[in-house]
Amino acid sequence: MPRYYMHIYNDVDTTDEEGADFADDQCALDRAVAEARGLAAESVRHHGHLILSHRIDVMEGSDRMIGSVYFRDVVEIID
Amino acid sequence: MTAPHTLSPLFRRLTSRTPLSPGDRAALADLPFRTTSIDPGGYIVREGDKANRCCVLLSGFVYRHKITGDGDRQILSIHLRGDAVDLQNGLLDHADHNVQALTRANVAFVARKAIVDLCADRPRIAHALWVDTLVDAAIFREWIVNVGRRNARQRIAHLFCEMALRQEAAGLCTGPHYVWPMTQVQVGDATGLTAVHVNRTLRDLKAEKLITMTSTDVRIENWAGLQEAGDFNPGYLHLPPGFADPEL
Repeated sequence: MPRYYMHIYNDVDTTDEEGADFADDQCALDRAVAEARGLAAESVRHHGHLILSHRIDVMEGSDRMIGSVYFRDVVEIID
Repeated sequence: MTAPHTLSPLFRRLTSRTPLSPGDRAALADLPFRTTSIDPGGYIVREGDKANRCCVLLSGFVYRHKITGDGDRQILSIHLRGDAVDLQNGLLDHADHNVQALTRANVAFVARKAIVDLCADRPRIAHALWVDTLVDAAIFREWIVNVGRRNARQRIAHLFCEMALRQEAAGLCTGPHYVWPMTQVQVGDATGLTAVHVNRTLRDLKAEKLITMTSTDVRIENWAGLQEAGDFNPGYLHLPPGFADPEL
């Protein structure tokens, strides 16, 4: 099973050195969406703000970029 | 020089809280057992298993967990050398949870009947095992508070503090270096967090110079700071005198 790495770019950058196995790219991206929503919620809960440009980059191994999941794309703000 | 008895890690754990007579110790040493080695990920107990034996962990780390109907895993406790891992099932008909090896583990299986008979003959041993299950229950209570009411930083810092003190009490380490047997996914399953959230939180703990770590060990750089970060009070571990305030 391929190993994917989710690098976080929010208040501070956090490299994923451990990774996790997912069946395919879409499964990894689906998890990244859930993770981004979780981090966004944590930011609101603890800092009272949400920075929409923050993101998670999903890579397979060290060199194949699968995609970036921006907070702005996974959180709907309704006024 | 006589080699230590195979079950000596269990003797150490039990006698740390309950003094036992030479006769009690001899009776414990006479318990029949069978040893085996378990690979990482190997099952020691499966939910639904008929409970007919108890397992003493001789080396390595194992974890107790349950799986939800949706397939999510919640890790309920971590066990290390000397723990009588499934006394939980000792007097019940079947296992209501799973126990799996985190690392390579050596275990001794003792027939349930042998333990029940021993307790009937030796009240101090029954007392010691009773105390042991009560300490397990105290740790479960603390974990409920951890998962239910603490934030991510507190949950993970708390887990580091607990693992450090328990490893010291088991004679595995003297600090500030400890074995760290868990992946980020497993830490997440023990703290109700996702692996990404764990990674992010670990980064903060390292940046605050509370810990440094590799994939297999952790060094506590600031014990007082880590306890404060984890809202950690070691009272629930009911450690023997001398372990409650280690020199870390």
